[in-house]
Amino acid sequence: MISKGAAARCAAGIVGGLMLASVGSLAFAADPGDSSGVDVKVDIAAVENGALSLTVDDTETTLTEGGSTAAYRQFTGTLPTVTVTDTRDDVPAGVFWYVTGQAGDFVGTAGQPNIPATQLGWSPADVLDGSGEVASGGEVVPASDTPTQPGNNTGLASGEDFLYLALDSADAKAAQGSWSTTADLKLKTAANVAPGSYSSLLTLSLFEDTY
Amino acid sequence: MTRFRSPSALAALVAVAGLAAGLAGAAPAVAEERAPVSWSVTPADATGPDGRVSVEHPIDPGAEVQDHFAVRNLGEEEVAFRLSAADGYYNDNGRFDMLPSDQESTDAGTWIDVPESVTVPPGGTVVVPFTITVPEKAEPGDHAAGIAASVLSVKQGDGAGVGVESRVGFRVMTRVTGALAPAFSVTNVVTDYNTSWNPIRPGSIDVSFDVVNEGNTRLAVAGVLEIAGRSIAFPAENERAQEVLPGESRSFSLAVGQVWPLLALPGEIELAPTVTTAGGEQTTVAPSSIGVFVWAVPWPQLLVVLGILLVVMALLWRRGRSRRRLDVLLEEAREEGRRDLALEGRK
Repeated sequence: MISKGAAARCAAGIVGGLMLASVGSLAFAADPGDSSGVDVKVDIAAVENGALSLTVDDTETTLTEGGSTAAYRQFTGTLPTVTVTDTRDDVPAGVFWYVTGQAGDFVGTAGQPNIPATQLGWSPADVLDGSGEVASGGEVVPASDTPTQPGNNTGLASGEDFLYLALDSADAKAAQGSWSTTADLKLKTAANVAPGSYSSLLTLSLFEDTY
Repeated sequence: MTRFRSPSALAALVAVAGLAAGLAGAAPAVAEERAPVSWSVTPADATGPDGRVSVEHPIDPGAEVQDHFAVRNLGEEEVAFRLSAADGYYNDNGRFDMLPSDQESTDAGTWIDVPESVTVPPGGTVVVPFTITVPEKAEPGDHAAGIAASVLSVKQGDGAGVGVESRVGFRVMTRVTGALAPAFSVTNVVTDYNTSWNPIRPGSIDVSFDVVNEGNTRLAVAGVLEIAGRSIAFPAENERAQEVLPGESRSFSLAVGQVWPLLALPGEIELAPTVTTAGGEQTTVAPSSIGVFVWAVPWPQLLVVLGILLVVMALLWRRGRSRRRLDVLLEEAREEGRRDLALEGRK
């Protein structure tokens, strides 16, 4: 027969011990890691210098339905391969380039409601020549999905990184080379989306900037 | 698969993503084999590329400036590139971009006059002139735009396809002369203390805020966060400065590691953006400082102390109880002894 006092005593001791044990075990657990103008055109002779150029493959971009559920419909596809080539000999220090991607709303061609561009996501593939200087952009998932990276469920409504040269300082110079990547596209819509044709335009842009 | 290379075909630009039920069997169109297109676009003088990365001009309201850019075709076929000018913006990552062709420009993008297209022979370079005409009533300050040469890959007809416009462009920054008024504000300051549940490890602080450019000049945002005896500069030493255009805002997230939970952690965000003038000189805008405050309750440490207290209490209590019980037993024994003695005495 255990008296009330003994029970209270044991309970206090056990709770205290458990608290120490749980906090203590954490102490030994791994810490979480931390337009229209003039038409004057001057043709000039082939330039000897190299150039920073964009190359796009002439391949189809199609979205086909796959992975749809009762709750939503999903269409996936792949972008054509995009290549950036830098053959310049004398790039000033601190000059870097990048390719961004942005999409417009999917406009219903028969007057049905638009599918917002925020429902189109992508996952750029790793750069083929992974020398580390050039990286492909992070995944962007459709707005209705749960983010796979903090806050990346925005869709392609505004410019997102596709491929970029990462300089580590203002003194660093762009390297010569050729870098290619592509991206998996994913459009997600409500299950009851109006059937029909929709049109959207994905814009890829190569720009240069200074560090 | 058809690639529209002439501007007239642009009107028919539709990228069809057919979502009609039963579309799965959309027959792939017979693709016409064409070589990949390779091209470069750079600012230029009348004779060819001049080494500029972007174009910057200070222009009086009502005045115009003429400039050039070069489009070079590095592919094996003649290509008619579509030329466009549009308003510029910086995306969330701080990279310059321009509005896509399906969005209408309202600012500096409409001031630029470029031909609609340019046809460049394989291996050739064509210098294209353009004109920036600033309206009489344009607001003084910085106005960003871009010029690009693009090709379109569009799948025609029924089926599920996405149109892709690939552009190569450069930035055109116009500073309309007049009174410059750099100004900024800091909003959406959010602070958070991440408790480390390991009581012998410090936690960390996350501070995020938006810098809004409320003036008429572009700003290169830089500053320091002072908190918990630490100074965190942004951009970090190896990061490039974040340029924010008039009317734009940029989010900043800073993490301060190794911070002990000392209950209340006051801090300060000191912002001192620089204003880049068209001539490349830098002037400063009056810096400002914003107070921040983080609660950091040392829960794990409090739990340890409480746990120890409870165990000690239980031990002392037991000892107390035992002594009391012994006393009672002794007392009982003595009582019995006395009783025994009394009984003996009676005998």
